[in-house]
Amino acid sequence: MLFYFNVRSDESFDADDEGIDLPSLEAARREATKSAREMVAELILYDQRIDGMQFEITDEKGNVLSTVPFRDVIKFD
Amino acid sequence: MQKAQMSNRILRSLSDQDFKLLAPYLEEVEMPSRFPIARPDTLLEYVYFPDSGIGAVISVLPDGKKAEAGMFGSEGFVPTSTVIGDTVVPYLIEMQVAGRGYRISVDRMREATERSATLQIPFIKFMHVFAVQVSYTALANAKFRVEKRLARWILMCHDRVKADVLEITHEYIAFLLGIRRPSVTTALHILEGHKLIRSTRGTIIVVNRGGLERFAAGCYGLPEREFERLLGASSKDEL
Repeated sequence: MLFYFNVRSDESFDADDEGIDLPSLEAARREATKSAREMVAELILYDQRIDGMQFEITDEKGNVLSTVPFRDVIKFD
Repeated sequence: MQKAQMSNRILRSLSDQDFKLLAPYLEEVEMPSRFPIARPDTLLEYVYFPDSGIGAVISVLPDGKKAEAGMFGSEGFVPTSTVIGDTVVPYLIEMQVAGRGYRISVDRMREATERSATLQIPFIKFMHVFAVQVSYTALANAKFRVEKRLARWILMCHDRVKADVLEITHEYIAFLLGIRRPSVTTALHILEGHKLIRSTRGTIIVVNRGGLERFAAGCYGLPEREFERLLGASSKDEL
């Protein structure tokens, strides 16, 4: 099944136009989480805002199946 | 087989005399995407000289983790270790963007280089230039952020494809940069926002090459200048 990982923030929207073939929505959420960790690390390093950023996981028709807010991948405790 | 018809810059750089030592044994070969050139610890049979396309030298771990260490196209040959007569490599070497080229058996290549001292020179020069490229990849990975490194890789692909439309997928970009596939989207959009490229499904269009070079801010260019200095049209066949 093809999943698309759009990146949405308060000011911007980056559409994924290729998608990734993954077995389940659960696998797609795991991929989004791992990718968000990587991107959060860069955002922190370059002093940029994380609040409001999220992965929007959609199907081929653009229906939003799930979201992964970047805040949720940071462990505070 | 005529040297003038070839795009491979190593073969083209050979003197007519040296080219004649290899020519009878060169075979044309189609090199589709994922075409395997060498596998870790498997006996090498052929030396490849691409005329088009893009290939990768890939470092691999037994558990399947891998990263691209070096990129080559019509400017080079692989596996470089065949110059010193070695017949195994620890790498995976395969094509990433389909092309075509020439190959010669490792044994024929060895015989030819034994007959001519000058034949080896461009091969050894390329080994050095390739090492410079890999050293700059290490620098880029250590000191440059994702979108600068992406600019560098797009320029390196642009050099090899020789067209403004690059058929490279997000999956390949993720592999080149050592990042996850979903992280590629934002990096591409940053370059698009600066009007340096246009990105559509499976395709990147280079819009402003000079701008990409400036954006890459020094992580692109030096290995390419080293190539021209040592193997470019104005270089001399001396070591």
